[in-house]
Amino acid sequence: MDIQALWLTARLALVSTLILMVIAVPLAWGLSRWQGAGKALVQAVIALPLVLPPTVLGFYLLIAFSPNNAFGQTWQALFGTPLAFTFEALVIGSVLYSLPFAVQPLHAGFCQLQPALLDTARMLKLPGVARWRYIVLPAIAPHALIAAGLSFAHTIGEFGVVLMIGGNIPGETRVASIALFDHVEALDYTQAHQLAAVLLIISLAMLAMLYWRQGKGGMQWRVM
Amino acid sequence: MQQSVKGLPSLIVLAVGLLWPSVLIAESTPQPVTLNVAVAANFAKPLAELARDYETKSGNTVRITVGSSGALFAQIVHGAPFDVFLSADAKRPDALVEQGLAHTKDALIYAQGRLAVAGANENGLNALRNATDATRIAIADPRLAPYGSAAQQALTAMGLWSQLSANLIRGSNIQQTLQFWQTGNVQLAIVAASQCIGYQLNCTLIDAGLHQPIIQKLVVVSRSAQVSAAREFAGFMVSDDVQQQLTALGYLPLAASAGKS
Repeated sequence: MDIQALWLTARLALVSTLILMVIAVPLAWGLSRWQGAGKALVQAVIALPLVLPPTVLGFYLLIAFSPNNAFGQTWQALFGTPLAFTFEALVIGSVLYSLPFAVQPLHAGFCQLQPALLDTARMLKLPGVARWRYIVLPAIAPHALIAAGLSFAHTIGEFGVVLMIGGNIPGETRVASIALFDHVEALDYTQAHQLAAVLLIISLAMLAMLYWRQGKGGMQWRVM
Repeated sequence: MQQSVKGLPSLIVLAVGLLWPSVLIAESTPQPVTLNVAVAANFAKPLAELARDYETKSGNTVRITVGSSGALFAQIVHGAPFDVFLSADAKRPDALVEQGLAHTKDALIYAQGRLAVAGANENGLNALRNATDATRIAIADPRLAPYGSAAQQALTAMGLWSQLSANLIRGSNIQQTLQFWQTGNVQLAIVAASQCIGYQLNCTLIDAGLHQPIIQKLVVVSRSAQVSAAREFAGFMVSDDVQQQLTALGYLPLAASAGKS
């Protein structure tokens, strides 16, 4: 069994999800309050990974990570190692790749927040921290759960980006989807079946749990 | 919905009417056909060149799909519409014969591959020996790619395998291995000699005696709707004329591989 690959995948999904939540909450909040001319463009950029072939992102990242280019050079100067084919490279790829799955549900949550509620709280001289603690956070908590859950699940399903920037190193970049691809190519269908079944069950269980929570909140079934 | 059902009979009549003359012609003179050829990454460049010759000679069209031998094999097993498969090894064409997807006589050796080191200013073999911890070296994945296992054998024979194993980045096929180097993400890459020639790179050949011969077989897929044209193409690939060109394209011709195996 590919315990190492599965564990690596879980670590990648967890780290990426944590980083995504840190980025996505302020981003979605800012977006929901902003009505500027460029909003549609920013939204489009965030949504790009939904429609773009992952190989496009993988290709650009591979070029960017190269020590021949500014980004790769800066990374190597800062950390002393090249970026491509490392766990860190996969985290960067995953964060970009799953960004819409984190931002969109949060954005929807912030948009649904009644401005009157916040205005009343402000009138009652409730401090900012308390306004977040008692009004904003409870209102967006279900959306945050979906954002985190989808980011995590989507990162587990990542393949095209990792294939291009991973280099298939056991324990470092050989995630479950790549290990499965390897088994199929090596004609090892027994191992492929085992790993595929594990991934299927994990993904199904995760989504079922998410939608079950969502149903409890009285919300309807939808992707975002 | 209603309309499309009504239109269906007339469509069939139209289709039959259009196809009928071509069926008649096909019976009298051989009609130019389009051959779907699946090729392992290492042979993609040479094939593109050779296929042009074949097209001029035969009047047929060759449509090329490039992939790793493993992926292409799996696709053929699951019904991909390829007429001919040029593998990077003998294992997979033989497996197609065993599974009844190809005839024994349709599995032919067409080339013997050679390994080379790309990326060194000086001698590539010295560059491998002098690699430091910071040197990253791309090879094709030994588990998937015949050129990868040959690279592993060569490094083992040079006494470098265990020392360099932490430096290795594995490409899922030989084309990706070269791509890792071309994008500047590794310093050295062990690739196919045919790629060095095809992409005009400065490479150092690795002695073919350092690894098991990379015997490459092609196979005509029995399921093909145009087996005779596919066999003709296979015959072209193993013809003396093509085999003589293969040395210049980075391969050992058949005579050499027959002598060794």
